[in-house]
Amino acid sequence: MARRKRATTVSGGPPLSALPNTTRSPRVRTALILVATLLAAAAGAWLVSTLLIGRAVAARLPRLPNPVTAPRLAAEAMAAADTAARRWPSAGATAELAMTYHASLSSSEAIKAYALAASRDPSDWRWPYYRGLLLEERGDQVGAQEAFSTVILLAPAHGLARFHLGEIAFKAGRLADAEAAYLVAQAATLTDAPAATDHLPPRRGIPLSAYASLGLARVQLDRGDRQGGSERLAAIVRAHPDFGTAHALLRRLGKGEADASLDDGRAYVPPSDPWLDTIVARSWHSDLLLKHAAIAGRTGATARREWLVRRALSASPQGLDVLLEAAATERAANRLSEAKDFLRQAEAVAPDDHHTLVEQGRTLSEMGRLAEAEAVLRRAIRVRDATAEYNLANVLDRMDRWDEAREHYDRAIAINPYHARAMNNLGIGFSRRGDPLRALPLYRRAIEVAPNVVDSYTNLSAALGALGRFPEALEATDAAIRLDPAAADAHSNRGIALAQLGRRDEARAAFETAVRLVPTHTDARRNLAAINRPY
Amino acid sequence: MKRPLLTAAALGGAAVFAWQLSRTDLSLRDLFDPSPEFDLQDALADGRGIARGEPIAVFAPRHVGSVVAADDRPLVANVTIVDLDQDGRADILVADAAANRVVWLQQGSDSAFAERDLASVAGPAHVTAVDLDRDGDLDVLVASLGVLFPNNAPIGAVVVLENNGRQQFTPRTLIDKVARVSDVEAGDLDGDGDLDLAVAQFGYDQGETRWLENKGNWQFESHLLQNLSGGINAVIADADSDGDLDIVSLISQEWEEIYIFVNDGRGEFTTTRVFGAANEDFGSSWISVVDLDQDRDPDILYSNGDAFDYAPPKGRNWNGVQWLENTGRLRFTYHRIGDYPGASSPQAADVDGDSDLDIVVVSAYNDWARPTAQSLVWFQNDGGMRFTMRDLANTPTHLLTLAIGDVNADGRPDLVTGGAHMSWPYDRLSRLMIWTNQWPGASAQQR
Repeated sequence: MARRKRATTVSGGPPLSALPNTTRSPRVRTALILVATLLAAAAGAWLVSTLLIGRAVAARLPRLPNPVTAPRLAAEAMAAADTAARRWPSAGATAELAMTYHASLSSSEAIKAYALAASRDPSDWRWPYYRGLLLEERGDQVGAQEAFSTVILLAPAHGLARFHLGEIAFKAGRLADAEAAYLVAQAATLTDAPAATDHLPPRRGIPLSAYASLGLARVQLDRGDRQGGSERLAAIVRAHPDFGTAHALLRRLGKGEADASLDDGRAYVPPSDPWLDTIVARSWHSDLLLKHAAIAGRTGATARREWLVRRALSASPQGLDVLLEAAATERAANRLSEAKDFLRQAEAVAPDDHHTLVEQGRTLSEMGRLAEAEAVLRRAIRVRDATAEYNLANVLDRMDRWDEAREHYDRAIAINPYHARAMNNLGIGFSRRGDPLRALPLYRRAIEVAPNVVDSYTNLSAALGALGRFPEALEATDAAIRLDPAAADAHSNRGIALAQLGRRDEARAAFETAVRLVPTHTDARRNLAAINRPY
Repeated sequence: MKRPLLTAAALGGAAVFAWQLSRTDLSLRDLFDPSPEFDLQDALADGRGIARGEPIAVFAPRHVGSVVAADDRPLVANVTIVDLDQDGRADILVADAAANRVVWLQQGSDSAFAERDLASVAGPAHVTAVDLDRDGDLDVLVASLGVLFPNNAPIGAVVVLENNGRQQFTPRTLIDKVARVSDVEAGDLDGDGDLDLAVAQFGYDQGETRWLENKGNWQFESHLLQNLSGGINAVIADADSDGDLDIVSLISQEWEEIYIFVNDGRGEFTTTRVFGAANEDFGSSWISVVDLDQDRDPDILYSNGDAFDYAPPKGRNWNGVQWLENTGRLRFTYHRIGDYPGASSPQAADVDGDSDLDIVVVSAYNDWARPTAQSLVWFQNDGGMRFTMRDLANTPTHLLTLAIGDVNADGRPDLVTGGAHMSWPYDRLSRLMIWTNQWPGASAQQR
């Protein structure tokens, strides 16, 4: 107002009322100029700051790993993503670079690039999540905790991030924090999980809630609550009979509900992670692909395993580990000819690798090509290796060359004094050749070495039966049946021992059980018919 | 008019600029100085370790012991340097898992080593010399796995080779038919003046950690401490600096944890987990307990490089070496030292004679298809606990075990390595090697 008054006074022009009604135009114009200037300044500032920030981010992008140790396709992917990100380091391009590094097992570079991607787009929880996974992988629990905590701030219902926080807190002895995180993870669902990748078949498996529950059980055990921990573990085992780690923990508490056979040799499998799957699906690094193929194999996800192995073959067609895994995958699918082809390729890569030769010999043996198997395994035993000796013995045994087979079984046991399968086979050889007395110590030793192998008890019972030592034979069959109630051979042998001891009704029941378990069980059927025959 | 406009424009522009900048973690200075200098602390913090240094020829290698033929596949699980016959010359004890034997390499007056079998032990995993019966000579304590490869059968044992004073050894089995034993170490755990034993049992799925109370006359009473699988080490040390001996154990498999069994001085232990990796494939491979920062408390030097989580065995990009700094009250702070695929058996010694402790590490599972992949490296300490990784050797490959000690009595720490050729390639084999320290003026200083 003051300005207008002053202007009027100074100008000394006609009265305002006499002028055309344009008094607001200069104000509008001024306002427009002001707005335009502000907009231009803002646009200019936006442009300049964007350019400067882009330049600064580009300068902070991790350098490409040197020397590049990744397979060619992975190296090419990293180089392309690096070029794109340096050209214009948008949040998307930086994140793409980070994911490419992650998929190419260049973890240091990926960790750095994820941090930059998060700084470009702080609202996207994926970048701290992936960063957390990598930091956790490398043992940096503090860094991982910070990263997963950021995820929780952005996505409070993120069950996997909660689970990882629970794991980190548990490992650090912060049991209350661990418990709180596991409880949230236990109730969480993967509602915001990414869509399944185009090609990578999903992994079945134990749900996250079971892993979180396992974590809670460990918290209880750490607090000294043995009873509560046991009950929780028992509930997990009932709900998820394939959860080997839960079985193992439960059995360590001395609880009978745990099945020993389920955790024997069953490696831990991490919970499935659909976000990690998006990294795996884009990987061209055979090490990452084979790791996840192995996990898929442990969970029986055959299609997924095969997909990952095929991709690993594309990435590293001459990689010895890839060829061996490809062969193992084919063997698991009973495609023995294909398995043999991969093993031949593996041999071309590593002619002196006796492990490859042993696998080739086993495969040829399974194909019934015993002479070829023998030739390959004879090359394998140039190295002092119990597995090679055992497999050669097996082939010779099948070719009915018992003396030679015996020699190689003996060698296998000399190299590995705990080779229970060699002891068993050697015992069977003696038994078949009418010398059960020599078989007995071998079976007994096999049982001592590997007390959970049912066949050893069954074989022992047969040898004892052949020697007319039926009470002992009965004890051996009972031990076998305790280990595996569905062991038809053990029931059949039990029937024989019982019949010889004059316990005909029990013998009949034993033969019936054997036939029920294996309807084609020839011995049990014949003996059942015999025992039912009137005198 | 102009000035207000310019002011408004500047303010608006600045606001936009500030808003843009606030959405990043960059500072104004970063924008105008876009070439960040190499930041050592940043490099350490993000897990890279320090930039790799130039290799320095510190050690001169030579093979010792029996000659390795092309079809041999040496499997040396453990080596230790000790003057077994107490003649003033360092000898070497070897757990030879390929031959199922414990071997003594006796150093003669001519610095040559004569190899002598001490005993047949199935799957020897760890060997150490100690006067267990207090008769003035050194007996040999052996951890027996039974077989080197995973097995759930109760085939482990603790065996002592009793020395009759004339270096004739009689095997005595202290415990057997237990889950596979990977480590055994001696110390007075109950304060009664005799030596008890700490035992790590790897097992497979059913491992244990226990201590054996010496009741005299070669009788030992077993006390279970924990029944987690994957025990690798059970090191006896005064971890809480209270004057009695505790047990520091490394548990691998899916647990990947380090525990301290804290002793009350009378053999009653309370369990404390001091570290755990949430990565179930971390690949814990070895710990040494050593005062790495020389602040008069024991720290834990720790490698992760076990490669048997997935077949065939292969080093992983997260493998490496770290130390857990003892900050008192059984609290330990994690510090990554460096990445190293297949890292195993880290040992601390003043390699370069500058009075701080450097770290030497071997690898059994590096990427051997790459000719430059290293089987032996050292991390040079700059005195401030910052380490520079320096290459030592890419030949031979597959080194699993390492011992440091003054083998040639020149006051400098030398190395002894054992080869474990479990996987291809087999073109650079070794069984036992001595690496003589050639750094001028370096003095022996180790755990």
